[in-house]
Amino acid sequence: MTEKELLPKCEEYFNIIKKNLPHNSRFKRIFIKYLNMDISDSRNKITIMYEWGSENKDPSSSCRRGNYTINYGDIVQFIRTKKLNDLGI
Amino acid sequence: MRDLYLLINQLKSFKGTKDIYYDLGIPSNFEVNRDNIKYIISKSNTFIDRVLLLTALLDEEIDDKIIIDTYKENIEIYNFIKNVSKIDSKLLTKIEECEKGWSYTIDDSPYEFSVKSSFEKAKKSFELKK
Repeated sequence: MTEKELLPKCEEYFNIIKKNLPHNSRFKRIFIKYLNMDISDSRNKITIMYEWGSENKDPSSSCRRGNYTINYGDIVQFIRTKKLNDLGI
Repeated sequence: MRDLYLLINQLKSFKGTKDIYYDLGIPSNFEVNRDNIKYIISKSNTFIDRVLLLTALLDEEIDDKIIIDTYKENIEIYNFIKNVSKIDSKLLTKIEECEKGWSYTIDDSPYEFSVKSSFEKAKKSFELKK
């Protein structure tokens, strides 16, 4: 799977789980980082990083970072199962 | 048990649809339509091949109706794929360590039990149909 195919899956997964993350109401920016790209190992780590802080648009206002690490294999399987559920079989 | 581990790992791997088709010996110009899917399933020699094929269909941008009908006709595989989602990667590591002869026990895991029993049931059913 190429990075181009991979990224939407990570984003789709993140959109599902992000409500469970702390600070979700004050997300400013989300970016996804791969720790390695050994495509044969489903336990590949992917870190989703996010910045959060005050709603104040002042760029000098405090901004903090959080991160969430998950195995890619779990993302893939989660999304496929969600699709099965959505199809309502 | 080894088959089960390999299959779960494959389902959770980075493999894209085209890679799965390639592994199954399906031509690269394979047109995903109802007739072709039926034909390939009927020619699949193993339960594992059918699981991989049906999983690959989930990643295709095809009419949902085709996917729904295919899964309805292969309900054991549907149940199996759903059960695999309950296995997290920690458990996968544990299973792998068992395979290597380490001293972990996996008997107490409800997730693993669920998939193993689903796998055995589906395999049995597939063997009966063949």
